[in-house]
Amino acid sequence: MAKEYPLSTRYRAVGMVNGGTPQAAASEDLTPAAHEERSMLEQFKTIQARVDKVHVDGVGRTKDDLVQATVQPMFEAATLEDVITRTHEARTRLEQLGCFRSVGVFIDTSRGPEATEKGLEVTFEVQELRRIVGGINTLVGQNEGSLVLSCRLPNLAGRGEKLQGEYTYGTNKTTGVNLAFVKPFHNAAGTTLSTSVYQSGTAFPWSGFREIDRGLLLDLSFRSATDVLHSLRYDVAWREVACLDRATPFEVRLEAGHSLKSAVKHILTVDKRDSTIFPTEGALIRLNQELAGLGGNIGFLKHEAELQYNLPLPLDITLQGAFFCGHMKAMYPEKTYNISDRFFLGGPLNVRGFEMRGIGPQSDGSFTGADMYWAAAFHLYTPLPFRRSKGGFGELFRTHFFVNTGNIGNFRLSDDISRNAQILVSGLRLGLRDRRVHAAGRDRADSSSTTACRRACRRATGPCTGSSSAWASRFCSGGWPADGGPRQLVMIYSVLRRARGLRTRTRSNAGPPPGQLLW
Amino acid sequence: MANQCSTMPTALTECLSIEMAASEPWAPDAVLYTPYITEQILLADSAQCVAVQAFLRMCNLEYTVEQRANAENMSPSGRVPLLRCGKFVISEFDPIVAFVTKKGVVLNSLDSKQQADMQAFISLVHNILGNAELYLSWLDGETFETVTAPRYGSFQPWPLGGVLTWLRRRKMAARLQALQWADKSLDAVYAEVDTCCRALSERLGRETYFFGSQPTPLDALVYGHLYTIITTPLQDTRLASIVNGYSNLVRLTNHVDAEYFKGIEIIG
Repeated sequence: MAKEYPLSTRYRAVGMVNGGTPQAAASEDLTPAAHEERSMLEQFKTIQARVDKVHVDGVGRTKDDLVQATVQPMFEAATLEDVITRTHEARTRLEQLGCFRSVGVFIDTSRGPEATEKGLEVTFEVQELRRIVGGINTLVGQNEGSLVLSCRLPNLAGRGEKLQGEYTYGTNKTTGVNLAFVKPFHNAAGTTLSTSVYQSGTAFPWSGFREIDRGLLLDLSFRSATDVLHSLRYDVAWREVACLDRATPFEVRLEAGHSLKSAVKHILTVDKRDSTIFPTEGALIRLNQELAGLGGNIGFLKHEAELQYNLPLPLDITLQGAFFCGHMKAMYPEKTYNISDRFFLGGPLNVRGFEMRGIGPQSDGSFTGADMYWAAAFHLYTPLPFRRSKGGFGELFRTHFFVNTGNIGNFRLSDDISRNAQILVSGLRLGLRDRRVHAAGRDRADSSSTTACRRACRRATGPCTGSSSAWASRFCSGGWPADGGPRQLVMIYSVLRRARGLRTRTRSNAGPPPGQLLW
Repeated sequence: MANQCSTMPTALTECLSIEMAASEPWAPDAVLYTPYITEQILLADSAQCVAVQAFLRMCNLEYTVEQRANAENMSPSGRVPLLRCGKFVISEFDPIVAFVTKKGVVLNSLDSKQQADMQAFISLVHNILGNAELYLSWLDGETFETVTAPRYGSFQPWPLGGVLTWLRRRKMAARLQALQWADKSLDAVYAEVDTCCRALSERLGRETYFFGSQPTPLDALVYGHLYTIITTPLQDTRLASIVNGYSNLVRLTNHVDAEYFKGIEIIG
């Protein structure tokens, strides 16, 4: 359908709709063009307008009622500004339906016999997603690289449902299969139901075992407020823990075997941050509760909390404070839990500067996990030094200063709060390891704490906590899926580690490996 | 290093650990891990567990028995029993015998011809009695339904127990197929057992043990199998009656039982 639009109208409409909301456009420092835009906006507020018709071109298998409901609010607009804002919102909603590959918008004056005096016609040109989408990706994770073959059937029944399958093959001969069906309900709460059947194999060389999980996962997620996301899950999994090799310590060997976990879980996420990858301001609260033991032979009650706060500082510097904690206990006398359920601490995701899962109780060098942990960290993210211009390639990198600490163990807590606090920081000592030789990169306060830390390190004996401060950089590139963020960061981080593997190795020869140093 | 170990042939690492074991004395806190004897264990596993216990008792070595539902998964070779002695973990009859022998514990001074004879008989017992027990447990429909299936998955929740039993049956069928046992009829299996028992009976003759008045690992192994076969109640009693037909073998079993176990109940 080729329709003629007056050139000026089209230019303005497209410019406005794609250029973001009017408020956003009016805020930054103003160029002459922006001045013009601003005055135009002022005018838009006063111009009376209404939407007569909405055309949506290119709809194939997507159901009509879904599209109609999406554009319905546009008919309530009273001014031109209102029309543009509502059109923008409708476009965003259409993109989020999971039915269309691209959505274009044209706004024109209304014509024809039914046209009103101040009427407008809005045309959305949509392109539906293909029936089958496939992909081949490679991933580099913590201890292996893997190849991912994926296939997706988007918009299966015309309401944004999708069926996706994924096959992963790793360099350690681990294979994973995941078949998922996702059904969005397109209601105000953004309810989504997803079902998946999976099999995944993971090796844990830090703990001397490998695990194969096969299971069924049901997930119902919805929002109770704008930034408050709930996820209710039921997971039934058959887990097989097998010893990695003959060197697997006996403590771990005792836990080898099959188990069946049937658990319900509630995840509450309140995310007020402005970005999931490099947030500059806002807070994140995540609370997990998991009850296992509705059938199966694994039973426990697990609580976990994660808090993060980002404080913007001058010169595009961000200070981030983070705190994690978790606790689990047995719930039924006849059901236990094993090494694949317990908590582990250490590694780039929580206590950075330590080996992956390298803090906590261990047996012959293999970490066996514990029932309780806490970890806290301060991160300071700054742009790279000597940056020439904003928005260049250098913006994908940050310098990263951090101090983190944590403790994990099978602590026995009582009702006495001060005593509990004492237990939780028991044996706390600060260890400092420089991951880089860039002494110039560290600030003065940090260096002075070094000596104190090392002294403390020598004094301490027995199991205790570690803390680390280091200089490291990590980078990210745009377009990562929000949920995939942390996993991908680990990935990138390990690439960095590998790249400087030689140097790391020479240094670790000089002293005992980190796990042993701190435990 | 750890990675290389896992890819090395098991036999080699086993040899290495046995060689290394020679330097250290027997740890008195040695533990033998077995599946739950009354509720879980199957014929072939039981025979192995009893044989190892008999051997350790013949050697007068201290050990305790611990029963674990996951003994099979704990074992480096995937089979029971599993012996933990100091920092060594050894599984199955032959490696445990080799491990103990390396420590300088010798039951009976045999010349090289007798050694060879004993090894031949040990293989015969493994190949005939061991496989016959596996055949009966996993491929004989009646025994599978009435004994194996309820016992094997007894420590796993529904429906995992059934799944694991099914997988195990498939694995065992493949193993017996490879050994050309799967296509045999039940009668042919009983005939094999009979032949094996006759050979053992002829070798034993009127002696106390197979090689004179002192026991050997062969005596422990034969005891393990025969004791299990005689005392395990099955629907089809033919296996027990074949063994009971050889009076000198039954006498050997009773003798070892009285001498080393002194009436201690090994199997309920």
